[in-house]
Amino acid sequence: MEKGSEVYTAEEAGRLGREGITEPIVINLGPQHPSTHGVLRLITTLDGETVLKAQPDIGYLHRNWEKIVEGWQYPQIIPFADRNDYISAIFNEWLVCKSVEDALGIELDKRAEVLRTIFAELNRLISHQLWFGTYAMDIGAFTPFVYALRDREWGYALLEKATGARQLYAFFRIGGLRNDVPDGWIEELSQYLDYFEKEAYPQYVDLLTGNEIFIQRSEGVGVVSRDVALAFGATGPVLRGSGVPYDVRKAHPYGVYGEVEFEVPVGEHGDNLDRAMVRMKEMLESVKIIRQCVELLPEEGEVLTSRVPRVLKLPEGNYYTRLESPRGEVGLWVVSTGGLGPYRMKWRAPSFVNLQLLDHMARGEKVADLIAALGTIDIILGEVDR
Amino acid sequence: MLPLWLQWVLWGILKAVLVLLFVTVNAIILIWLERKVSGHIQNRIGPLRVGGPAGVLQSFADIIKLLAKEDFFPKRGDPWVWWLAPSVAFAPALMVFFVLPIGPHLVVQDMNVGLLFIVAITSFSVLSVFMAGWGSNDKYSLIGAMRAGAQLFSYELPMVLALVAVTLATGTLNISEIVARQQGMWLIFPQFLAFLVFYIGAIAELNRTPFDLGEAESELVAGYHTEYSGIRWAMFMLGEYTNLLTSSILVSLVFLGGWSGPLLPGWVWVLIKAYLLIFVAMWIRWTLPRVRIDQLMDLGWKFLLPLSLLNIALTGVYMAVMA
Amino acid sequence: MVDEEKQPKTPPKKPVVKPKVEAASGPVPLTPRQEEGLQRLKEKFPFVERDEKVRSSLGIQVPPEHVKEVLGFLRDDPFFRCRHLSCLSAVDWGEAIEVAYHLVNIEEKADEWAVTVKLPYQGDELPEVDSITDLWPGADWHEREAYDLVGVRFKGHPDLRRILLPEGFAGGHPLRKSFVDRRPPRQRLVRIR
Repeated sequence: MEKGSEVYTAEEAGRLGREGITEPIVINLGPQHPSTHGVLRLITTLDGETVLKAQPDIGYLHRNWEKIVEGWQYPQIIPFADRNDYISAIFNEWLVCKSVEDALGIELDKRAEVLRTIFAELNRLISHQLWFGTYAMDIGAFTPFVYALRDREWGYALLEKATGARQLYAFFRIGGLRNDVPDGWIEELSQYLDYFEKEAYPQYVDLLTGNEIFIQRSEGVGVVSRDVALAFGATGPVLRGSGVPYDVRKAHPYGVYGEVEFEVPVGEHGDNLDRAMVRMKEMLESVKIIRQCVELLPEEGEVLTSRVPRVLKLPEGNYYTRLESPRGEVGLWVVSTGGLGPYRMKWRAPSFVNLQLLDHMARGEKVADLIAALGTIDIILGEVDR
Repeated sequence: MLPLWLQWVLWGILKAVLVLLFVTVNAIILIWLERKVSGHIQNRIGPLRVGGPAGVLQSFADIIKLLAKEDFFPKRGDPWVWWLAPSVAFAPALMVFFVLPIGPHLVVQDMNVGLLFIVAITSFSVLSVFMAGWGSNDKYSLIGAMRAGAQLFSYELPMVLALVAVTLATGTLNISEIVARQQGMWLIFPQFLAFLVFYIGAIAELNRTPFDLGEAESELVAGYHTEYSGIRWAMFMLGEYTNLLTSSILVSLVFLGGWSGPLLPGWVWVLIKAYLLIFVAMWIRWTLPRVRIDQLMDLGWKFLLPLSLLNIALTGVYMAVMA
Repeated sequence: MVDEEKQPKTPPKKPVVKPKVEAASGPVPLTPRQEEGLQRLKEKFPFVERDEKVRSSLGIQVPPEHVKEVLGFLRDDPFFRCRHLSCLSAVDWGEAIEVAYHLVNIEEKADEWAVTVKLPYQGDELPEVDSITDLWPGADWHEREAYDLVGVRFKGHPDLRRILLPEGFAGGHPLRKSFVDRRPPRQRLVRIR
C-alpha cells in the first residue's frame, strides 16, 4: 500500500463521532473511472458508504509544461499554453499575452480590448455550460448533459468562425488579436445570447437546478467554510460559494472589465448547492458583460497594435500576472534574465489548488457526495497536471 | 394419439417456448424503445441508421454485438457464483410470466395464489445481484451489490403491503379474479395510495434512475455488473427489461383494469396500458437525477412503508363500514 | 469558395509608429502604499530588504530562517492582511534556489506582495526552508510541487512526496538547470523547417 493511503485511525474515527467502525476498505476511484473528469485517481477509504479519506493522486497527464517552455520565445508559448486548460483556452492565451504586455507596458487598442473581453466571456459561458452538463452527470442525470452540449456547440461554432479553431485557438497575440471578427459575427453572437437567456437557461433551471432531488442532493453537502476556503487558497466559484466576493476581474480590472457593470455572485454556506448556483449565476453575468461589450465595441480600430517591438525581450526580473478563468485565479510567474524567452515560468492553476479541498469536502459524506463535490470543484486535468 | 404424459410434456414445452418468445420480442422492442425515448427526450433522434424504419433493427445489432464479445472472467472471481448470477437474474423474471395473464384466459397457469407467487418469485432478484457482486470479487461490484440488496429489500416491503390492501379490497389473490372485480371501477381510484406506493416501489425494484444506486454509473462504474461483458451482461439487461415489462403488466392488471377496454381485444389493452407505464418509467429515468443512498432508505422506510400501512388501515375501515 | 465579403476586415493601414517600449531599466517606482508597507515591515523586521528583481509588485527579500515569521506577520497584520496565498514557486539560479511566495490581500484592499527567499546550495543536499503548511494548509501541494520539480526540502511539511512525477522517479528534479534528460532519443516524425 502506498504511503498516505493507510487505513483510518481511531483518532480520526473519534473526530467524526463514530464509534464502532467496520473494517474500512480502500478503493481506487480512477484513473479509469467514468466521472473523474479525466485521469484523476482518488485513493478513497470507505467505511461502508461513508468516505473517511479521499486522497487525489495526480500527475497522469504531466508533461512538465514549465520545463518545455523554458527558452521558448514568448509568442511561441501562446499555442502551447492553450493546452493547459483546454476547456477555456482563451484565458491561457490571454494570461501569456497579458504578462508580456504588462511587463513591457504595451497598450492595446480599444477594439482589441473589447474583443478580448467578449471572447473571454463567451469562453467562460461555454465552460460553465460544460460544467453544468458534467455536474448533472455526476449526480446521475444524463439528459442535462446533452442539452448543455447542444448549446455549447453553438458557442464553439461562433469561436470557430472568428478564430478558425474550435477549442484550442492560438488567437491572441501579444498586442492584440490575430484578426478581426468576420462580418455578421457580432449579430450572430447577439442571437446566441438571446437564445441562451430566453430558451436554454430556463431549460437548465427546469431540468436540474429547480429539481427537488437536485436540491436535496446538493444542499448542505461538501461544506467549505469561508476560513477554510481562504486558508486553502481556493479561488473562483469555490471561494465565492463560501461567501468571499473575490474576483480578479473586480479586484484588478483588466480588459474592459473596469468599464462594464457586473455582479460577483456569492454563496452563503459553501456547500455544493452554493457553488453550483454561483456558476449558474455567472453564466447570466457573462451574458450581461458580453452585451455591454457589444455596446462598447468601437467601429474602427486596430486589433493588433503596431506598437509591439519586433523582438520581444522582457527586462530582467520576475513578473506575476493573474486573471480570472472560469475555474478561479490563474496566475503566471515569469522569470526573465533579459533574453528572448523566459528563464522560468510557473503556471498557477486554479484547479490544482482547488482540488486540495476535495478531502475536506468529502470526509464524512457518502461516496455519491464525493463525486458531486468533485463535480463542483470543476477540475480540468490538463491544468492540474500541467 | 400420444400418451398422456407426452402430451403434458409437449404442452409444457410449447408454453415455455411461447413465453420465452413473448419475453424476448418484448425485450427487443423495449431496448429499441428505450433508445428512441431517451433520444427524443434528449433532443436527439435516437437510432436511425442500423436498418428498418426508425432504426428498429438496433436491438438486433446490439444482440449480435453482445454475442460476438469476449466472455471475460475476472481472475480472482468466484467462478460458480459468477457464472450462475446472470441466469439467476433472468430466471425469476421469466417465471413470473407463468401466472401473469396477458388477456382473458391467456395465461399459462391461472394460479389461485398468483399474486403471492409473483411476490415470492420477484424477491429472488436480490439473490442474483448479491451473487454477481460477490462473485466478481471487485470492490465496485460489492458496494453496488450491497446497495442494491438494501434497496430491493426495503422496497419489497411497501410493495407487498400495497398488494395486501388490494387483496383486502378484492378478496382474492387470483389475478384474473382481481381483473374481473374491476369491471365497474378500476382499482387505481379507490386504491390510489396503493398504486402510488406500488409504482414507486416497482421503479426502485427495477434499479432505474432515480433509484439506480446499484449500478450508479458516476460512482460505481456499473455497480454489480461491472465485471460482466458480452452475453452474460446481456442476460442482466434482459432480466431488467423483462422485470420492467412484468411489473408494468402487473400494475396494469391490478390497478388499471387489465383487459377491460372497448373495441380492441383484451391482450391489446393490457399491452397498451403496460407500455404506457413503461413510457412513464423511461420518462422518469431520463429526467431525474439520482437520489443518495440515505435518501433512498428514508423514502422507503419513512414514507412508503407508513403510507402503505395507512392505506391498509383505511381499506380495512372502509371494508368494515361497508360490510 | 470563400466569399470576398466574408473575409475578415483588414484594419486600415496606419503609418508605422516606431515601437515605444521603454527599456524599463532600474527598479520600478513604488506606490505610496507599497512604501508604507515596506517601512512597516522594516520596523518590525530589520533584516528584510526590497527585492528589486520583482517587477510586478513589491518584492521583499527575507533570509531563509525568518520566512515563516514574516509570512505569518503579513497574514495577520491589519495593514497587510494577506489571507490569500496565490502562488508558491521556486527557481534554480545555478548558485542558489529562490523560493517566491505571492500573497494577495483579497478582503479589503486588493494589493499584492511578493516574498522571495534565496537558498544557497549546500553540497549535494537539497536546500531547506520552513514549510508554511500550518499558516496556509493550501500551501501543501505547492510545496510538494516545488519539492518534486525543483528540489527544495520544506521542513515540517506533513507529507513531502513527489506529486506530479511518479513516486519512484529517479531522474532528479527536472526544473533544475543541471537536469539531464536520460530518456533514449526519439525519432522525430516531423520534418523541422
